[in-house]
Amino acid sequence: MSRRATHLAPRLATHLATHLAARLATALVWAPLLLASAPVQANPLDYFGFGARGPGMGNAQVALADDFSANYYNPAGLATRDALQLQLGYTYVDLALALNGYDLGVDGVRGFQGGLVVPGDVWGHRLAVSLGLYMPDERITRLRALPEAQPRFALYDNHPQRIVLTTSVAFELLVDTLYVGLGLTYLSDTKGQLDVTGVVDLRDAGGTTLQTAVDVDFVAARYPSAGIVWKPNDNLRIGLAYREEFDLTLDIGVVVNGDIVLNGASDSPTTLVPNARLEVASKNSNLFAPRQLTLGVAWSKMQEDQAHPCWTLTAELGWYQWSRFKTPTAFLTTSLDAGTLPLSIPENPVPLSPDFSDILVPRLGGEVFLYNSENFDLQARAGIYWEPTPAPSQRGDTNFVDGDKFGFGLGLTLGFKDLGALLARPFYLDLAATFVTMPERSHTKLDPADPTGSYVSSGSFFGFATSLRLDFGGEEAP
Amino acid sequence: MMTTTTTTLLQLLRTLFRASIIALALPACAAEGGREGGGDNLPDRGITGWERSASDTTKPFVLTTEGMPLGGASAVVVAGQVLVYGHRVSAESTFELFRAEGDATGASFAAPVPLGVAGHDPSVLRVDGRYWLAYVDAANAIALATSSDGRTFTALATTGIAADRRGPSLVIEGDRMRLYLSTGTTLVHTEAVRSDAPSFGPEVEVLAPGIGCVDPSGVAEACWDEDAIVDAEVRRATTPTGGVVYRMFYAAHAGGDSDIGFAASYDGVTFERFPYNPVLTGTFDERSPTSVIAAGIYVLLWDESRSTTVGGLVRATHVPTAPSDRW
Repeated sequence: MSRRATHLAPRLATHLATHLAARLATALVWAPLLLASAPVQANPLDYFGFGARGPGMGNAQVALADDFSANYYNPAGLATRDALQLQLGYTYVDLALALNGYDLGVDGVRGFQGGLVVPGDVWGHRLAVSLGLYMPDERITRLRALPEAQPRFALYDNHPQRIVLTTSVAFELLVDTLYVGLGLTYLSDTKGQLDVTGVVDLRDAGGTTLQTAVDVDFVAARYPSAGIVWKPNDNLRIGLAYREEFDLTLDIGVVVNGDIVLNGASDSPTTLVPNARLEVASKNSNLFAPRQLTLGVAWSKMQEDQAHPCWTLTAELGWYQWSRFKTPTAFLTTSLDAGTLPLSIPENPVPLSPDFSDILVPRLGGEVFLYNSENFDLQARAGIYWEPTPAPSQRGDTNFVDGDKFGFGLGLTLGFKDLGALLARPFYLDLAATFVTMPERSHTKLDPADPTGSYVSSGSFFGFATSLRLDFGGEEAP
Repeated sequence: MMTTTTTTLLQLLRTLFRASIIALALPACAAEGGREGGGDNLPDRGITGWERSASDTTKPFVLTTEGMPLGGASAVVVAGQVLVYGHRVSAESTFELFRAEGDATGASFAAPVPLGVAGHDPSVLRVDGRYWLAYVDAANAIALATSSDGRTFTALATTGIAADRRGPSLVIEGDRMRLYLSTGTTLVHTEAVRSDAPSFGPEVEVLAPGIGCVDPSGVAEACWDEDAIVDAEVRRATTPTGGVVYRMFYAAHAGGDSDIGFAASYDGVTFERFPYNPVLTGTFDERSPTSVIAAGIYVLLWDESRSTTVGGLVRATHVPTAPSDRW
């Protein structure tokens, strides 16, 4: 290496880094804004349920859901009812997730939820189409790629910060017996590139002139869900639901093209390297939801008039394919062509695999009809579930923290059937309270000099959900 | 059915507005959020992020004696007060041990009080209300002493400690005594059963200069401490998971400079270097680090020299939001 080159190398690196940082900042400002316009179906529902009936029963709904929440739990259930249905509500979950007993301040989840179920009839068979929406009222999306070693509750970091839009269609294959449903969701992968062209002056920033162009694409991705509900008799319902996995990536690249010169501000700059090129690409899995398959059974004891069940018990088992969870750490690749200048950029290490495992999640729920009159109905429900963590104890360099979850739910439905001038139609108010505890879990580092060190994770959630349901036409049902 | 839908649509919209008022009444009472998502109170081991109490280009000493350079500090927290034991050069040009009483966080100290013990590089511990002291005595041998008040020490008869060792660091756990010693370039460990006349066993090398350094991604790299490891202080700490970790701040030489690094071990013998070493560097050479947790703050003290007659104890602090290792 010549002495001159030795002096030029750090100057070039400094200039490139400065200009690169400025342009990259521009790109990072634009990218989330653009992405925010793309509604995505995502994880808030996986963690906290949909509607207010489900959370009140530990989200054991695959055999029972028949309102707008069936968009999530099992779209086939949409075809089991006759009434046009409109629901609107709110959900709020406060997270208290801690390391070593100190709360990390993980954002809670809160937002509006609602949906519409429009039933129809085709050749004497029920048909229903539905739309469900969860709209967080703080931020509609959040993208970020934290350093690999920074501890974070990997499943709750930025995953709940999402709009959820679901659409489904359901059909009654066999009258009053067999129903099928299909949901289809359009998602958006993000690919963006910042192109920078111009001249970089090694010695004088004033001699550097660069032009910037931002190009961000949202590539459509489709993720299906499907379900079946089988009612062999009035007492028994069996549901099976499938949700495909999805993985939203954040893919941002920066390309700097230009000449490296001396005296760029003068009329006759000296070109050291013509057409130098620096490429930086950052890619990470920003949102992952596992492939899921859930089987549930519900048994109801019907009232004598067969109008409503006296009580219902349901149990289900869900399989979540978390083993395909990809690291959320950004993988940075760089490439530099600086001609004869002796510059090189070391390769970045490949992010470590999170090594998550598939899990089985059992859920139990029940509800009982407490009171029924001409003007007022009252139902109560409860449910529990156990969700083992898919994440291994974080003993190495990664800190993707999670723990087993024990969830409890309680709920009520208040039915108001005759409010005169206030509301012409009956309406039902669902209320649910949920509590989830994440017992302490030790993460003992293999390296005693690990910067984060060993720690204990723990946590709990407390939340509630409300939903106001209006039925139009069809049989009145709680 | 679809006809019903059409005829009730307007009614639906009208009633929706009324119903939404009822539905939204409940959440309106809920607490508001606003936090930024999971970065608060991350575990903090008190290894990096040191903030010097004063600029290192002036005389940043929290403890000094004009004309009598002092050093070799070892700190301990007793009754909410930081005590420092060290050595200074007496008027007769010999080393003598002293004790200085500081405030709650070691920000200032009273004048040092001689212990009446000739020696240097003390390491002090307080276990079960009793003080234990290891130091290099006037004959340049490692000596042990104990005291009930921290002022008057009684020497212990020891055997098995190799000659020409320096920079002792003493760790006591149950009935076991561990000594970490510098050979001048390498750090070794020896141990004995705790008694009034401990007999130490064979030495085991625990950290050698220039070997086994890796960068934060685990790739081997040139060691920052390639010339010599000296002046180590080992603390037996408890991790949040209830385990034991031996924390070591040590001064090491490379390229004519002395800086401070960190290493740790689960068994007290096999130490791993911190991947972001050195953890403290400065204009002048840093030597003889000692660390305590005082009033919830990680405090690091070490000595620096400006000349043969000017030197003293320097302090840096790290205020953790969520301290993890404790000792």
